[in-house]
Amino acid sequence: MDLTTGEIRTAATDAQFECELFLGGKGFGAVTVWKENKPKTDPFSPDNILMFLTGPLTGTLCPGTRMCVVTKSPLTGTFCDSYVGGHLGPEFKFAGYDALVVRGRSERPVYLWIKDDHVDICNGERLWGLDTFQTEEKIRQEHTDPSVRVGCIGPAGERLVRFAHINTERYRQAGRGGTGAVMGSKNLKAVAVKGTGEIHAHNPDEFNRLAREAHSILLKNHTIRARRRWGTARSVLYASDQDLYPTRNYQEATFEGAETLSAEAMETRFWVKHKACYGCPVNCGKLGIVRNGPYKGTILDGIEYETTALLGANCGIANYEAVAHANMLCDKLGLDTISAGNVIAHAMECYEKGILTKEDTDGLELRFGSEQAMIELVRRIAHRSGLGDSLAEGVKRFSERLNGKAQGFAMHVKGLELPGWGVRASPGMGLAYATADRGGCHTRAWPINYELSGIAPNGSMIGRYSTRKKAPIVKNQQDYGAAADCLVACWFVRDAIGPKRYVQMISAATGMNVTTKEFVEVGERIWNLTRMVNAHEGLTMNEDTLPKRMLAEPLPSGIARGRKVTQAKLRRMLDEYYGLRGWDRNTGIPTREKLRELKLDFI
Amino acid sequence: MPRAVVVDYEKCTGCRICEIACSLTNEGAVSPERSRVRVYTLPPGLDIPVVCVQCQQAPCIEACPQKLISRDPVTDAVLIQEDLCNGCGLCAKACPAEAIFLHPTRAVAIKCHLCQGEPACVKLCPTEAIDYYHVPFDTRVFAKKTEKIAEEIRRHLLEVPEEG
Repeated sequence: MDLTTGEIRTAATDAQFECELFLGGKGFGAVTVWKENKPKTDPFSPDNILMFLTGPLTGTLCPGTRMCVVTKSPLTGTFCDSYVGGHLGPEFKFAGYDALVVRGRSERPVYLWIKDDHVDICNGERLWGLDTFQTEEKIRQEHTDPSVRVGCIGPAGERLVRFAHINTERYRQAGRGGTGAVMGSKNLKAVAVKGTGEIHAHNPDEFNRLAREAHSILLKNHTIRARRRWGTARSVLYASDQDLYPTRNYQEATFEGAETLSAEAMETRFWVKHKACYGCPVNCGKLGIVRNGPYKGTILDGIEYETTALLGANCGIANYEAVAHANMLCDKLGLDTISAGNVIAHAMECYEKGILTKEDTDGLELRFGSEQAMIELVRRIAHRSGLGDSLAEGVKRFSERLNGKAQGFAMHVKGLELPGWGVRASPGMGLAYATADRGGCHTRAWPINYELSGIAPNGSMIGRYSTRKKAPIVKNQQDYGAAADCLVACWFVRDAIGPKRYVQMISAATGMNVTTKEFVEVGERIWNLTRMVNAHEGLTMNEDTLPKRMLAEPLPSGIARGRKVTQAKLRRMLDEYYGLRGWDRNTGIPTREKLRELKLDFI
Repeated sequence: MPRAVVVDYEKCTGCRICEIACSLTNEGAVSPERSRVRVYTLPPGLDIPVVCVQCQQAPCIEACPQKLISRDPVTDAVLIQEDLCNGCGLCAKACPAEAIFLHPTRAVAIKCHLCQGEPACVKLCPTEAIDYYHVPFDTRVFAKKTEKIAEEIRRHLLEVPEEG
């Protein structure tokens, strides 16, 4: 769909090239970016493409498939894939589409209305300025159908806040990387979909048997059972105890207020029911309401672990009610809670160090622990008012403007704000951040489990704080992760279901014969492709790094007190990593042979 | 004693696995618009499964001009003779629970028929939000409009008393 010309075109998915080599989701997105997005395209230019992608198992009985958004990120200036649950992805499939590719820019605000074969670019003037909750409701009312699925942006996306999200079902977001700002730059307020079609499996009996088994596997799995009860917030105390919980802009990694941000606190005082995405028995979502105090009446599906970390501990705030309120505002106004919390904490540290003054903050006492200041900054960022306008540029750009005084504690990799896991007590996670294709991200590899247990996936012993044997764990997780991101399988089910069963389900669903080896190879192919996209954007191995704070400042407290990653340690892990990947150790770029081996000859 | 698929709204997570199970069993494909159970999520996030409660005094039976709706003596299910139905929609209009739907391509009304006494949706529901058993009173009391149910659940779960 071209929003500049209004041209709408339907094309068949290329079975040989796209399906076999790239499967769907992230794979389709990556290869389309490679083919269609010219390097150095401004993320806000009409030429930047924005894609909504499903996978081959979306809209089936297979549990936990989501939707993938791919574009060029206004934070990193390079490849960005962002994922969201809810119901929008499956609805695309019911309407008959694997993916939606949007380019161009509309003159006036518009939204897309897709009902099966009927695709329309509709006037969006009356939606412009509305928050995400209002937008979704208004579109459903106008189409008199509560089952219309909507992905939309709030005021933050309209104002091109570089970490604006795309919101769906109120509480689900394609959160990271600023996909909502790209929508805003296209004057695209929302995408609304309704499908009345059917999804058939190639071999329905076999497929449904496998999928049913996947459901019972999930319900029996212990990790999943804890997640069903406490959601992602089950990790709060674990992270704080293990010195991994970002506190006061990552100065520390254990937070004295963790208990009042924990799942236990929210379960007893806040949550009223469980929530799930389409077709998923895990129901990691928790709907809650604040019952007393200044934030009374705040309703939210959350608080997710990441948000407790970034808007909570990282801002020095222990009151979950304040965090819930800020979280709700972020959802409504259209901000990624991770980047928002990261950038606010950065501003707080700048203020406490005197780099920002009361004049800069328009009188706001921007101290760690101030709920009011944190909440007020959320509003100002979303509306780009006062200091919020420069914070809306993200922590990298913001800190660069402060004459080098704040870059050492600007907590990002490649421009993407770091999420809620410290790495000084988990160096493998440091490698994962340094090498993640979209920048500082915890969902490309997450080796923390292995580091803490002391046992690698292959059964060999590893040292928690050692750099040895970390590279293969990270590489393998990235490869399997990228393959699973093609499906688009949720992080919370993919390990319990495992590659073998996914491969069986893909074969039964599509009729394609895929082996486990080939499946993981799809992941490796994509990982090399996104690496090449990044290289073409001008990223080098120098950007495979960590914020100075992680490398130079030892942890001041907690069980890993005194630990840091150090430049030399990171170098060692990277060296091993490039070697394992078949990348040139001097440039960090995939070799010609590697690309050929992965059938990426077209690069 | 009447039997029906009964709903515990507070346990429903909105996952819609019931819809998937229903359309797979009855239509051989995943298709929300062909499911005989539908889950609607109403603000601020309440999930309301809509499914026939098999009323003892069933308005749909009365409403069918062709007298094609009747009760199965074995399962107690209220059944539509789909092969003769012309999709006039009067039964759907008469249903107090809005649990009768028009099939998107075949011109017939569709509703829950309890899968011959073994509802597929109940088997796959991960939270027991929908269940199937004998109910010792007329299930008609459950047959309410979705918005009304959502409002009741909202009041029950999400209303905090005013201070003072």
